[in-house]
Amino acid sequence: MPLRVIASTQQKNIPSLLVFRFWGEECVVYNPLSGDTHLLPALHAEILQLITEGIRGDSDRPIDHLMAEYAMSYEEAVEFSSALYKNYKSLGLVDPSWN
Amino acid sequence: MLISDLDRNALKAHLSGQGLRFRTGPFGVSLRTSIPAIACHIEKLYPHSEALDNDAFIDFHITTNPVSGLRRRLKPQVVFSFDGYKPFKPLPLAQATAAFEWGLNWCIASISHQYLIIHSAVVEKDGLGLMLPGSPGSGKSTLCAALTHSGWRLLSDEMALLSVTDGMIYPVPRPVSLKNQSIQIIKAFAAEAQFGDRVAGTTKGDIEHMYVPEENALQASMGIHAKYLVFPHYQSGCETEVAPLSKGRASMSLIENAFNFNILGHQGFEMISDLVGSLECHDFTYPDLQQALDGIEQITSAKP
Repeated sequence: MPLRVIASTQQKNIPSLLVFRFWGEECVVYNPLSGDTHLLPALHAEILQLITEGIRGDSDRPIDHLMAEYAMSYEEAVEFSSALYKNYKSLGLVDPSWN
Repeated sequence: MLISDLDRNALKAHLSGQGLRFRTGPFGVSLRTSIPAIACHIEKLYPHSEALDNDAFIDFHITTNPVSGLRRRLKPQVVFSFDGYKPFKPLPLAQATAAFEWGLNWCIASISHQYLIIHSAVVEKDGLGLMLPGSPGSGKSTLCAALTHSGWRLLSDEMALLSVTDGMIYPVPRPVSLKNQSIQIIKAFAAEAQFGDRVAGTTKGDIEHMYVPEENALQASMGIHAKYLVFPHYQSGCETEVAPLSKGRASMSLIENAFNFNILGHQGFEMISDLVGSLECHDFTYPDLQQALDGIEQITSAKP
């Protein structure tokens, strides 16, 4: 069964509930706010989930996850997650105003 | 009562009067027209559709008539209207039957949001559904027509109706629209196939509509669960290639081929994800019809 996770949030400033469908090494992400759908590598989608959850509080979770699950150094994890954040921001998947 | 139970005069009287009310797939249609070619088209290509009485619910009130005024004499044209709305520019009168078929496609795809509608042919054999989404030129309709004359049941050559209510795919078995070289290919492949009149010089080329086999038309309310998803790609002179398609890419391709995904939104996303979860997905490139049929046989007979 595919893992289906809704990045749920109770924070009223976050208008988007991204919907994730993981298929092995890939994930399809639906953004109800824009109606856009994105095909991402599963790792990138995991980080997106953690970024959107981190917006609610624990912003270090993507970095912790990359270090724990993918054996990245702290610097590598910061660089990797920052690059993804920038990309997701340009796609409208995350928005700094949600903070 | 079926349309074939109406004699020609009664059929014409309905069409030119209050409208001929009939069912195609799950939809009720009321059609008014004074164009003899459309009356003939309905008589020949929709004989097994249920004729509806005056109390039946009608989804689409359609009128296809010649344009009026001076233009009627100078440049005869047909105009399609749905509930009085005219979504298309008039077409040459000689293309009236194509205008009706395209217009009815438009009606279904534009307002039938009780279904997620995917641009795909659908056939079924032994209870297992095969979806063939494809863009123009992929060979989708040609392959669908050949499969229909190779033991598969036709649900649609044009659109998969995925029910919002139960996730099943429902038939809308209407005449298969074949274009240009495909017409001769299917006539050579299936001598028993019957066709309506040729419509020449449309924006899509020359068109002929292939009859829906009677047994398929009479099973128009039997939904299915799809088992196979195959994206056909016709490519002259190529080697046949069957390649597994990841479910992520299959999801994205189905979303691109869905007419009303943006309207169903999150619900549509969940429906496509659930559908893809149950499908074996393939990309399929083939050089000719026989290779295409062999490839489909290979895909659908393989053990999972």
